[in-house]
Amino acid sequence: MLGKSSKASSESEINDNFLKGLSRAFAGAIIFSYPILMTMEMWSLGFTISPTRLTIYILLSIPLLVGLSYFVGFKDTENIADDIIDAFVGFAVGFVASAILLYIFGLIDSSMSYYEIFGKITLQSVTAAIGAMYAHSELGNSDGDFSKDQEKKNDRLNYWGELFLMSVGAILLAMSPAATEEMYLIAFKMSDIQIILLALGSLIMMHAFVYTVGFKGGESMNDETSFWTVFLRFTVVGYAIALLMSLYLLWTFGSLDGMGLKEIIKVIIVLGFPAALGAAASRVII
Amino acid sequence: MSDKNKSSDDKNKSLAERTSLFEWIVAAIGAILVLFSIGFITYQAIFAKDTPPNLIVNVTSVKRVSSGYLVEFNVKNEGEKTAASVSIEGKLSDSDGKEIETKTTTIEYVASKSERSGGLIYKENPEINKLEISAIGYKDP
Repeated sequence: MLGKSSKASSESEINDNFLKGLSRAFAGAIIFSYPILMTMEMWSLGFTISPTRLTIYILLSIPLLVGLSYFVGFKDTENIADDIIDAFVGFAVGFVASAILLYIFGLIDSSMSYYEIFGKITLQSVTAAIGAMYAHSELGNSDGDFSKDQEKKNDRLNYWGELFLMSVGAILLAMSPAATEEMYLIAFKMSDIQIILLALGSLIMMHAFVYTVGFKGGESMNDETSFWTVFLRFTVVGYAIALLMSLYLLWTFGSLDGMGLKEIIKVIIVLGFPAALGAAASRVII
Repeated sequence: MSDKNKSSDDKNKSLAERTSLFEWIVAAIGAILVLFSIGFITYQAIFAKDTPPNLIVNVTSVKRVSSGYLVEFNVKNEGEKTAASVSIEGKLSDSDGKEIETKTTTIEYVASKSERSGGLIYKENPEINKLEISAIGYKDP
């Protein structure tokens, strides 16, 4: 719960706290989703994307939002039912925020079919919903309970939780470039050596983040944790997650259809750069 | 108020007590949106016939502009698939059928069952001559 709760806490107080959380969620939704709302390829993807892949994308977003609520969500959650409610609140916020912004930008109007309008909003609402869930930790909390709630959530964060948050961070940052033509263009322009340099560079960058930022949930960097332990358990695994998330996003958007294996790998490594940044930075954001 | 009090308070309350009515409503809207999204898209995936783009162009107005005559049109896609880079060609011919002017333009995307609009600019008056506007090609998105 966001505000102070006591035995005397009334229904209106709960509502008040929820409204505050809701406004914060809207702010988070907009901050994280405006880049994709303002990307041309994302508008047309709304109706050119394969319906099967879009359905899978939305279905997968639900466990992802529940997980996010469990670790970072916009209210203190006691059990999994709270998290499920939170996830749907997040989705509603993401959907409404996307719909309003797309309408204001003049990107949806009555001359379009329901499928076109709906596809555009749904595709964007997942990112907006993730942003809504991030809002709590990202934008801070106006009252003093924040650190306590956060500490409690951090206690839940084990190794698998860390990896989960890394994948969400990767999706969040890789989402907007994933749909753009610049990804292939960069991949085509890069020589094989440059691709290898980029992959190595991404790894080094990730490790620097992981090492300097340190880990919540008891995974602190002390002398006992050797370089190789951290490198293999977090950096390498994190980079693998970043590449997998890149592959998944590119597949969802149909960007890889008809491409040769070598070009696919090159594009994945190019998109893997922002994904790795997101995976590593999830440590900072959350 | 200490942290211990707070968490024990929260644990003593049931899920229904911790969750406000307004929150239930927003969560319900979210659940409906998810189910509706998945249902609607799945329905489209299963039942939408894969008919090719069927592009119909209609002239909506002819206006005098400083560089000549502006012919505004809209193009509607009656097919189930989206057409990208739709080329629109407007041929202006005189009463004998001799071609006077041909103008073309490209519309980025026309989604299925959707409409887009655009304009072609002529030097000669299209209203006293014969004007034929049609979509002459597209590419798959």
